[in-house]
Amino acid sequence: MRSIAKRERGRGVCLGLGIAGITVWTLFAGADAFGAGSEADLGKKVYASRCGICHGDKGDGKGLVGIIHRVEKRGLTWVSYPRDFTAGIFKFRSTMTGELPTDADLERVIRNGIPRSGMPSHIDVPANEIKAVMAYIKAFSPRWKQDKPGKSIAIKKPAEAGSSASAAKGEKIWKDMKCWECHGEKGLGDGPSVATLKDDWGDPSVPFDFTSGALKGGPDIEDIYRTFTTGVDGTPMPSYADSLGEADRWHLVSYSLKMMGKVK
Amino acid sequence: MKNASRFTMGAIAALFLTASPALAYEAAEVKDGGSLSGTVTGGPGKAGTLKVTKNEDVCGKTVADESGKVKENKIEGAVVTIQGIAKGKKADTKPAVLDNAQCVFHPHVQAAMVGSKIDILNSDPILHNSHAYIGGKITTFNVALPTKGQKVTKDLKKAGLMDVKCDAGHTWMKAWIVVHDSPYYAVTDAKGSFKIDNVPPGKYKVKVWHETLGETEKEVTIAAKADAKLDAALKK
Repeated sequence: MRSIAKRERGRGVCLGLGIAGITVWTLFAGADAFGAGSEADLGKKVYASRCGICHGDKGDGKGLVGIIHRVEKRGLTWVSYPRDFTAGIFKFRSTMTGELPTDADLERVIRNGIPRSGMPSHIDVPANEIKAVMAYIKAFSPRWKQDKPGKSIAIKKPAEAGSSASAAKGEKIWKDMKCWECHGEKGLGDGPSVATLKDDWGDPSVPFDFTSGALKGGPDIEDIYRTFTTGVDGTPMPSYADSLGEADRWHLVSYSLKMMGKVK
Repeated sequence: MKNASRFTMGAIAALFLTASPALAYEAAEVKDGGSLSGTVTGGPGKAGTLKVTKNEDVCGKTVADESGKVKENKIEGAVVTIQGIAKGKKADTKPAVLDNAQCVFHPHVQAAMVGSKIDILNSDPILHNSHAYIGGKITTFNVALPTKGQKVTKDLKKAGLMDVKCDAGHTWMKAWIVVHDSPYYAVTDAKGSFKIDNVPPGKYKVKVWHETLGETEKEVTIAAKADAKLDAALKK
């Protein structure tokens, strides 16, 4: 008796799952007609017309362009290649070191572009196309299926950030935190460690020359704070979130503005 | 349209399959637990030194090469993990430790359980920078350790093989951390031996890994209140 009851219950569960499956199927099949399928098509189209030439059809950064940016300084040469999306590594994030970026992070890079890297601004691309192409880019790396994007760090600029008093404090922090080992005493990107720095692809990595002022992560004071805090994944630039207090990080931002000639 | 929807369904199915992480480990009392012990052998080993090219005043001229510590055919620093245990002994709550001391990571090889913490220390009066990768290429954290006595604590969020390097010009520095999905792991000692205790009786797959000598997988049956033997040989 008991075993029959069990079987009956089992059949019920099967039937339930079947109905749920059909419902889900219908929902998705139906959603196609309302544009769910067409976002993938749109993403593909936008990618092909705007991104593929550099980042490649497979998203591996091996498009037709190859080296996209070249720097020669003090007898050393650095080259940049278009980002390889299959690696799932992102430099410019508001999330902690090692975490995937948020959609807003991706959108910021796509919209604003990246100075000194060949990545142009796409300010003319409509919002729906940017959304579609972001989804398309995510499909290149399995990481987007395994990990969730991190949470954006809170950025609360104190009133003294950017002042010369804050910059003076920052100068000492620059020394103590040994920023100069890579970026040089005057921020020229000529510190003693430069020759050994490599990125995650094994290519030589160039520390930022602060006197150039051309910030890859964005031009605003909050952008600099974000980079100090979260680091630049894929490069040797670490996160200082755990090594340095928030107030001191802001002083460092002020000092970096001074090196850029933006603070007296 | 039909293809597109099929694609969507496939993608969603794939998402659920890959995204569902190994079921969360559950700590419970282990009744009549058995143990697994044995020796990992093989070679050839590598006994040498690595040249120091920066901060010689702190690091010395050379450091020991720990990538193949083999003595009389016994391998030190191999990691043994029992696979597929979702419920068992309580995990160690102490954080794992990775110390930067005299420009060498201590320990060179360790294992820890996913979800636990790791304290990254700097015992040197120079800049270190612990850059950890998981599964080969993905940065899992990259933290600055500019001063002596600095401690940074991070979560070991994902299971997998982590390797750590120092970007602060110390190109010879390297550490390995096997992040396992259960507390059933061990690292072999100088005699190549290991022991994992309090294992729920059952039949398991066991992985043995070493950074330069490769890896192997074995099947083992661990009986209640008994010690199962597992000897593994690795060869480059």
